[in-house]
Amino acid sequence: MASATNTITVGLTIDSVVYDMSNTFTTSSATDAYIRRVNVDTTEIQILQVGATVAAGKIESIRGLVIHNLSTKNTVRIRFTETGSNQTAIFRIPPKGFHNFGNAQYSVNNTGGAFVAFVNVASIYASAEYDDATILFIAQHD
Amino acid sequence: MATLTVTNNTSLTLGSTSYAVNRSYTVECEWADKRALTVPNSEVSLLTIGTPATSGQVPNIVFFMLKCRDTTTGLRIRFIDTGNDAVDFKVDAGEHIVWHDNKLEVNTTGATFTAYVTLDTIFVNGDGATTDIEYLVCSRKIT
Repeated sequence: MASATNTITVGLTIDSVVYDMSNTFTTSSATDAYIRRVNVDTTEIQILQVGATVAAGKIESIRGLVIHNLSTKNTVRIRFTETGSNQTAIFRIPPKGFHNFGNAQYSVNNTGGAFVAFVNVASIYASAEYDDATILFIAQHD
Repeated sequence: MATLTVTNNTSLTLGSTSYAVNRSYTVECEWADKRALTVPNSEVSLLTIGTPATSGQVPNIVFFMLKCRDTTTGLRIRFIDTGNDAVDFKVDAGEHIVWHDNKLEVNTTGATFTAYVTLDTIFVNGDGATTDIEYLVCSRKIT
């Protein structure tokens, strides 16, 4: 079993007004912890699979995922797909930024329709938007 | 202009092995909205993105963080370009999510990237009950 703690702290003061914010969440029963640093260029590559059977590059489910863009000047593009490659969400991470998720559930609609149901991410892809970048991700499964 | 400092620390312990990833970065911003509220078990708008910066509207997003302050009930958060692309994420009780800009693309065919749309609204919905959240959004004039 693994314990995992993710803490975010935000510090901002504008004209003496403090907008600080923080949060910590802990996963106490993780059985798989996966940290990987990988370089990406403008050709998209699959960086992580999520599914029922443990395999190379594959984690059974996600109970905590942080994707860091280690590049200081290049933006990274991330693509989530579900099994069958149907629902797909694409977003970007700015230089030095990160995205974090407590689980692997998401849903998309390309006509602005109302939410129906979540699906589970099955594959995560990454590419650099304009020039080479480095990604570090931390994923855990419970 | 003010400097927003964002720090993310992740620590993992698996058996006798520990991992730690501690990273920090800064973002320049001019405007900040911070709010703590109770969200109903129905979809409500949290903020809109556009100009001018009228009530509940920010001109853009350079950093957005939402945390679920509730210890039992999570929420669904929706980022949308109205009438066009939308993505929903599940944020469980006690967890948080961040977003860095107002860009997104979705499809329902597994296709690769073609072009981003520009988000105009963020919605939230308690996951089966009311839930308590807090958010911070920072933006700046684009010159």
